[in-house]
Amino acid sequence: MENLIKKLVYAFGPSSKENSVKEIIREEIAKEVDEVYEDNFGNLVGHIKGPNESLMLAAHMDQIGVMVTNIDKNGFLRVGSIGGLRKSLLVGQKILFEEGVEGFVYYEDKESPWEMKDQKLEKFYIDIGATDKTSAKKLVQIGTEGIYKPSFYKNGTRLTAPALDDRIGCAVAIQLLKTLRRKKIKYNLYVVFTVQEEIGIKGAKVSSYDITPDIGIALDVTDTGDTPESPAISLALGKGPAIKIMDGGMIASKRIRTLLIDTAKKNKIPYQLEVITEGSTDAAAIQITKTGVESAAVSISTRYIHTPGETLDMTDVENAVKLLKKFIEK
Amino acid sequence: MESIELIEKLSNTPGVSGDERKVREILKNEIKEYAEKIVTDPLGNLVALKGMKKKGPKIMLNAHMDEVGLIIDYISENGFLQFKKVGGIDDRVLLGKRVLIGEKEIRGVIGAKAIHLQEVDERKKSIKSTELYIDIGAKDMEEAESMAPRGSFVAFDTKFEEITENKFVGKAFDDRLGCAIIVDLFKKNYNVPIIALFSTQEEIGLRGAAVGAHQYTPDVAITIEGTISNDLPEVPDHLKCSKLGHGPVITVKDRGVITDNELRSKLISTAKQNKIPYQFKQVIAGGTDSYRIQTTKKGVKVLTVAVPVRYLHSPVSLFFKKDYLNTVKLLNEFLKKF
Repeated sequence: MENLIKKLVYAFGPSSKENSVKEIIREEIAKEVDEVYEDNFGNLVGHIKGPNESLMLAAHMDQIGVMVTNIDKNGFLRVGSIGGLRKSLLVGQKILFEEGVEGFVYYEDKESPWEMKDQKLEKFYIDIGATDKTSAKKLVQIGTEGIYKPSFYKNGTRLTAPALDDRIGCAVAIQLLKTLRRKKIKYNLYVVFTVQEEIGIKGAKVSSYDITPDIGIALDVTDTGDTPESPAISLALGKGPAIKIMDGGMIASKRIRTLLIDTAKKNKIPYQLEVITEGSTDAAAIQITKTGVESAAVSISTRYIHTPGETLDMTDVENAVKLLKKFIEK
Repeated sequence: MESIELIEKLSNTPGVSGDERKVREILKNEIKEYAEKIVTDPLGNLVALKGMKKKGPKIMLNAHMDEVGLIIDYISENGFLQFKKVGGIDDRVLLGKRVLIGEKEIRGVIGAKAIHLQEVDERKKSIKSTELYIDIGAKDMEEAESMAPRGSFVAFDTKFEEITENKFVGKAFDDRLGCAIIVDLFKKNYNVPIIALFSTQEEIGLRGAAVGAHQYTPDVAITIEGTISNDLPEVPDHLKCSKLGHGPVITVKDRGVITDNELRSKLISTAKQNKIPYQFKQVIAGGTDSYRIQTTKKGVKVLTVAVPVRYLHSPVSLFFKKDYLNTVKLLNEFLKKF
């Protein structure tokens, strides 16, 4: 599973440019499902047909990033954000654009060139080593997307990489499909790898309209409260997958979350309960499709979300796969 | 009607969010003879259909009818009108402006204490909209209420004018320019079904478009706008957003959407082939009806194209005729490709 995660976090996939991620996933799941298709919006759907209640699992393929908004005469780039970029953490980072172009983020400040004071995105620029506008425009255009330069580091059970939000949800879904025993599946199962979650939960919204499932479960990352002086969040790495009660966009269906909790208890799978007040996932959009869908989420506690240092614990990932397998199988 | 004549009429007509009737009537009259079907939905959106039996993708052309303005919420005993803002308006542009109030278009002026009577401190700070009032010369509350009852919408009273050759000033170019462009395009014939959506209440949260694409859902929607030009002295190039005279503004990303990557490439190559100037929106700001339309039902591919306009959301804005004409030309050539 480690290799799968590595492959996924190295794929280039800012919102609306998820193709590289999609191709990896398509190949991984093709043999595990009855049909795999892409809808008109770009979501990738793996379907295992079943006679009963339909269950939609959703993990988003896209990641946050930057978009080039201006190229100046000396070849420096200005960018805007794609999704919830943490702007003050951008300076000093390496950015990877499409086609392998790399840039370094710095800031303009005549008064304070050594330590940054003014943390406004409009003061930041990216140096891609271009000597002028013409040479820069051979490498990037206005509208070209960039991501934090991919990396992958493992220490024991802990993983650090950018884009674990939400390639880890994708990895859980893929691994789940690989371990499910077809004959035991009790749902009409749709596993949807969604697009454009980071810019407004769009892929999940239109996909759930198309599928209209009875139940929806999102697989995504969630915040933790286990770092120095962190806010009061009762979630920590290594304590098991988090079963969502509430986030900034939804309160999970009581029936579904109770079923998940009972499944964890019965099978002695460690779990945590997730209550956060900011941020949300695909499940928030699935929940209010048409006349309503019973929705919940299984999350992986992750530190430093939306930075290049997203860190999680592999045991939580493995237990999330176990929990979902038990939930889906008879 | 010639484009500019229609723009003049649309610009001079009051149509604050929630009170778009007069604008809707003008548009309906302009396009009814070209439409197979024309409906006004419960939110006041005007939808016109053309060539619906044709093959190919259904293309929606959409623009919003409403403009930012004010609403009367309180009348003082001595007949002055207090108001709230409808949509995003900078408090500082209100003082000393003429306005039109309500159905009867009662004239008024936004007043404040004369400079002679102000303390030094007062002169230094800008007055908040909540401290301003509209004066219609009424003698008391009763007279004011009979002329401009509470709940009346208030639009800026700005006369459309050509200030120098082919350069125009007026109000509500956001988004009456988009409305006029759709009228121009709707009169032409294309090989695909065309759905025109003139939406309501865009300026207060894209509300009309939240349902506007539900009944007749397109495959592709092109939002046509008047957009921000901040091409002023002292503004660095990367914060200008767009520039007057540089052609239609194509959005890659705003705060609501990333426009469809393939369709945008097709639009850009159309501009190149026909030697039509174009520019990109260079600041990720603002949102349009495309945000709502994009995720209607199973999803819609969206594009946003706009005429660059200076001083948006203020009582007086400015645009160049050539930007308008190039936007029409680009969209016409693009639609011919389907």
